[in-house]
Amino acid sequence: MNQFGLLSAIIFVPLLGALGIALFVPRNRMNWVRGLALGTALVDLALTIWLVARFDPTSADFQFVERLPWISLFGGNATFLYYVGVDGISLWLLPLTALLTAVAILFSWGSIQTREREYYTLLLVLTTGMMGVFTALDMFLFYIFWEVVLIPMYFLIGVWGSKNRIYATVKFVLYTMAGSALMLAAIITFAWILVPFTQQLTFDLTVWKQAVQSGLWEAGVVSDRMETLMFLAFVLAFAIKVPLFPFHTWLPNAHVEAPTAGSVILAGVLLKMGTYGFVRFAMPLFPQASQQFAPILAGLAIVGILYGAAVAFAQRDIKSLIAYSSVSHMGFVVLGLAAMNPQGVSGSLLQMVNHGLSTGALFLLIGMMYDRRHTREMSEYGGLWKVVPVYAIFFLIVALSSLGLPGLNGFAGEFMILIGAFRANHWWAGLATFGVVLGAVYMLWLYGNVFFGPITKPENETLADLNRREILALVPLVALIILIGVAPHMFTEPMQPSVARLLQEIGGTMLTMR
Amino acid sequence: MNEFFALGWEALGPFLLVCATALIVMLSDLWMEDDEREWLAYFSLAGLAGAFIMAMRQFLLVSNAQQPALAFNEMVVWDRMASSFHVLLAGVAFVAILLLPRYLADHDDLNRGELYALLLFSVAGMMLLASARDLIVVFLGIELLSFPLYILAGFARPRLDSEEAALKYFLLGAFASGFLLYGIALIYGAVGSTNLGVIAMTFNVLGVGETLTNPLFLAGLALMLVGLGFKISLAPFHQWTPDVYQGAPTPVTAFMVAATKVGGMVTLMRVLYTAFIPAVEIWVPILAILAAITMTWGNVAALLQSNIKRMLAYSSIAHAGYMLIGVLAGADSFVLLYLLAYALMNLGAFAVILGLRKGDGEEVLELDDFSGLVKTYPVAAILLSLFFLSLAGFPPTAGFFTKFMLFNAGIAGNLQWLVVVAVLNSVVSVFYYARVIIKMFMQEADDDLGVYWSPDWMLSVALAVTTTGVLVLGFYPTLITDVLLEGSNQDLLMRGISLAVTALLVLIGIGILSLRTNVQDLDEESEEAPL
Repeated sequence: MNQFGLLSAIIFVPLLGALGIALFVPRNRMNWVRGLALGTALVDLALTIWLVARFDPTSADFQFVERLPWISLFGGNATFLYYVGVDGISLWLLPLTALLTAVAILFSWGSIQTREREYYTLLLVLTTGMMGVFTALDMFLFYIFWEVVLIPMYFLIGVWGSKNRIYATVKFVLYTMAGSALMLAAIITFAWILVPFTQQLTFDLTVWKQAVQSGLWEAGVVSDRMETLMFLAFVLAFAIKVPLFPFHTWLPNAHVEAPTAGSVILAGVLLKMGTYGFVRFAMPLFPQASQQFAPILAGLAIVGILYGAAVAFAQRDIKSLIAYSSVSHMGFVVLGLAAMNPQGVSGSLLQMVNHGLSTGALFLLIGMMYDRRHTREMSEYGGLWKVVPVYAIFFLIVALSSLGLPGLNGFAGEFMILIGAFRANHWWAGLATFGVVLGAVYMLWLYGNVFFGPITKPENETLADLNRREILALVPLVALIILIGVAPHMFTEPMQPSVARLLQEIGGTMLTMR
Repeated sequence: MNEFFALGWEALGPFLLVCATALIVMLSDLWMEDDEREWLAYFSLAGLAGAFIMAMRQFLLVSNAQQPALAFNEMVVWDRMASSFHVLLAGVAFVAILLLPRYLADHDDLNRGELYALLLFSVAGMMLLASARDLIVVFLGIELLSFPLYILAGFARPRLDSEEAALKYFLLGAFASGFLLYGIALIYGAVGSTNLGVIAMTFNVLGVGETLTNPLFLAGLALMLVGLGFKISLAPFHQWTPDVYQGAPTPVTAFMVAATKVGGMVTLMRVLYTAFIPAVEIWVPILAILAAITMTWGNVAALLQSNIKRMLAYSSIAHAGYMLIGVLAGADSFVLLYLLAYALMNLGAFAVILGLRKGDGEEVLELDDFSGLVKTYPVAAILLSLFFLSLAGFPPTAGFFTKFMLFNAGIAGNLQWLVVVAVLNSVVSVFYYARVIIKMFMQEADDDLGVYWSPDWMLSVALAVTTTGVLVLGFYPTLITDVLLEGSNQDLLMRGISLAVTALLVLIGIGILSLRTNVQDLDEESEEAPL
C-alpha cells in the first residue's frame, strides 16, 4: 500500500488532538481541554482495536504497510522513507499504548491542577512518538520517533514532577541520549556499509534485513570487531531504555519524581521501547553477535531480576519499590529474548504487555492514594483495608498479577519465559525462578504493610474510597489482567508466525510451541 | 576598455551589489536625522534582498547551464560553491539586520549609520572569500571581513566590556592576520605563485613528495592553518571568542556567531580543496584532532557559563568542530546545509533574546533572568526552546537533520572515530541547552524580575523566518535541499510560495500567542505591558 492509512491515523491522531488543544481551545475552558484530550485518546484506542480486529494472525509479514518517499537527496541516491507497518511482534503494543494513554488522561483529570493545556498537549505528543517507535520500519524514521519521545517526557517529569524533578529529568534525558547517540553512529555506519551493495544510501529495514540474510556479515567486508561494536551500540541504547542492570539507575529517580501519568506511561510503554528494540532491530540485524552475546545479556537480566527484587524489598517509598520491581520484571523480558526460542520470545512479548498493564495499574493506584494523602511513605499507611475496601480489592488483584499468581496475566508471561529459559540453559531458569519468589515476598510485604494491621495514622481513618472516574480508569486494566491470565493463547497466537520468522532470521531453536 | 569589461564582473555581482549598498548607506547617513535612521535599515535590507536574488539566479545558472568560470585574471572563481555561499550570506545578513532596530530603540547612543554600513562591508568580505581563487584575494577578503567587526565589537563604547572586546579582537585578529600573511608569503616562496589553482598544479609538476618535504611549504601551510583557525575559532585558537561575543552589542554578536562561521568555513574549504588537495594526508589528521579538541572544549566550557551570550559563544565553538567533520570529509554541500541550519538556529535564539527586556530597559542575558519565563511569555519560552532543542540536535528540527547528514559525510569519509566523538559531544551539549529550558519551564523566579517581551515587527519577521527554516529543514528538508544541494530549478515558484506561506502562518501564530499573553498581562498589571 502506498498511501496514508490506518497506521498513519493511529500515529498522528494524537498529534492533531495536541495541536487542537494547544492552539484552538479558548482560554479558561479547561473542561474542553480535558474532554478533547480524552476524546483523542479514545479515538486512537478505537483505531488500534480496529487494527487488531483486521490483523491477519496467520501471516508473518508486515501488515498495514505504508511506504512513501519522504526525503530524497542526490537525485534519489539517498532516500529516507516514511515506512510503517505492524507484525505480530508490535501488534499488542499499539493498543497497550493507546489504552494506557487514555487511562492516564482520565486519571489526570483529578490530579493535575496547573498548566493543564500544556500537560495534555505533551501527553498526546508523547503518544504520537511512542506509536511511531513501535511502527517505524525505516531506521531514520525510527530514530526520529525514538528521540521525539524524550522531549515530552522531559517536560512531563520536569514541570509536573515532585521535589527532585529536575535532577531526575536531566538524568533521564542524558542517560537515554548517551545510549542513543552511539546507536545513531551505528545506524549511519550500517547504512554506509550497505552502499556498495544497494548502490544507494537507504535506511529501509527490510533492505537491511535482506542484506543480513544474504550474508552481509559472512562476506568479510566488515571486520568482526566492527560488527561487535555496532551491535553493542544498539544494545547499549536499548539496555539503557529497558533498563537492564547496570544501566538502571535513572529509572527509580524518574519514576519517583514523575507525575502519576508520567510514571504510568514510562513504566507501561517507554520501557518496552527498549525490549522492542532488541527484538525488532538488534537481534535480526546482528544474528551472530546476538547469539554470541546472549549468555551475557541473560546474565545481566538475571542479576537485574534478583537485584531489582532485593532492592525493592528495602524500599520505604512505595513508588520507588514499584520502580525497582520494574527492573526485576523487565529482566524477565530480556531473559526470554536471550533464550531465543519460541517460548521465551513469545513469553517476553506477552510479558511486555503484562508488565505494562500491571505496573501501569500499580502506579495509578499509588497516584490515587498520593492525591489523597500526599505521601508515598509506606509507614504512613496501614490498615487501609477497612477504610477503602474497593481500593484494597483493586490493589490486591493488581499486586497478585504483578507477583505472578496463576490465573492472572503475570503468571502466563513469566511461566513461558521460564520454560524458554529452561530450554536454553537450566541454570538461567533456576536462578530466575528465585526472582518470582522474591517478587511475591516484596509485593505481599508491601500489601500487608499498607492494608492490614491497625490504623496507625488518624488521617487514614477518613480516607475517601475510589470515585467513579477512578474506578472507570482501573476497570479496563483489571479486566485485561484477568483476560490474559485466563486465555493467554488469544494474545500469543497472532505473534507466532512473526516469532517463528524472527527465530529463523537469527538462527535460534526452531521447535514449535506444542 | 574591452579588457576592463572582459574581467568577468558578473562573477562578483552580489559582492558588488552589497558593496554599493554599503557605500550608499554610509554616504546618505550624512544627511539623515536621528529619527530617520530606520530608512537605512530598509535600504540595507533592499540591497541584501537584491543580492540574494542575484546570487540565487547565478547559483541556478551555474549549477544547470553555465560552466564554472574564472574571472579577474583567475583571481576569482564563479562556481556552485561560490554562488551557494553568496545566497546563504545574503540571507544571513538580511536576518541579522532585522535584529538591529529593536535593539537600537533602547540604545540611542548606538544608533549611527555606520552600523549598517560596517555590517554590509563585513558581509561583502565574506562573499569575496567565497569566490576567492588566489591567496591575495583570500587575504583581502579576511581583512574586509575583520576590520568592520573590530569596530562593531567596540560599538557600545563607552561600555567597558565592549571596548575590551574590540581591543582584544583587534590585537589578536591582527596577529592572526599576520600569521596568515606570513604563511602566504612562505607558500609563495615554495611554489612561486599565490594562485590556488597554480599551487595545486605545482604539486603535479614538482611531484607531490618533493613539495611535501619542502620545509618552506610545510611551514607556510601550518601558519595559514593557524591564521584561519583563529578566524573560525578553532581550539586552541579560540580564546578570544567568548570575551568578544559577550562584550559586543548583542545584535552584532548574533551576526558574528552566524555569519563569520560561514565566511571562515568557506575560506577553509576554498584553500584546502583547491590548492592543498594533494597534501590531504597532512592536513586531514591534524584538523581532525583539532576538530575533536574544539568540540569537546567548546561543549565542556559551555557547561560552566551563566551568561547566555557567553554560553552561545562556546556553543558556536563546538559547532565549528562539528562542521569540520564535513570539511574534512570533502562534503562542502553538507557543510553549507549545516551552516544554514546553524545560522537559522542562532539568529532565532538571538532574536528571542533581543525581544526580551527587563523593566529598566536592561538586556536579559543572565540565565537566572529566564526563570519562569513560560508563565509570563510562553511564546518567547517556546521559541527559545525550539531553537535550543535544534542546537542540541533533537529531531524533528533542522539541527538534527543537518547534523545527521554531516555525520553521514564523516562516516563515508572514513572519520568514524571523529563521528563517535561528535555524537558523544552532542549528548554533553544537551546538558547546557537544557539548563536554559529548565530555567524557563521548570523553575520559578525568586522575585519579580520584571522581564517583558516586546519584539517590534522586524524582530517578529526574523523570528518567523528562522522558525520556518528550523521546522522545514526538520520536517521536510527536500523543499530546500533539492535547490540548495542539487540546483534543481523545478517548481521554484511553488517552493518559494510554500516557504512564504509557512512563514506567514508561523508569523500569525506568533502574533496570536503574543496577543493572548499580552491581554492577560493587561488584566493583571494594567499599564506595564508594551506593544
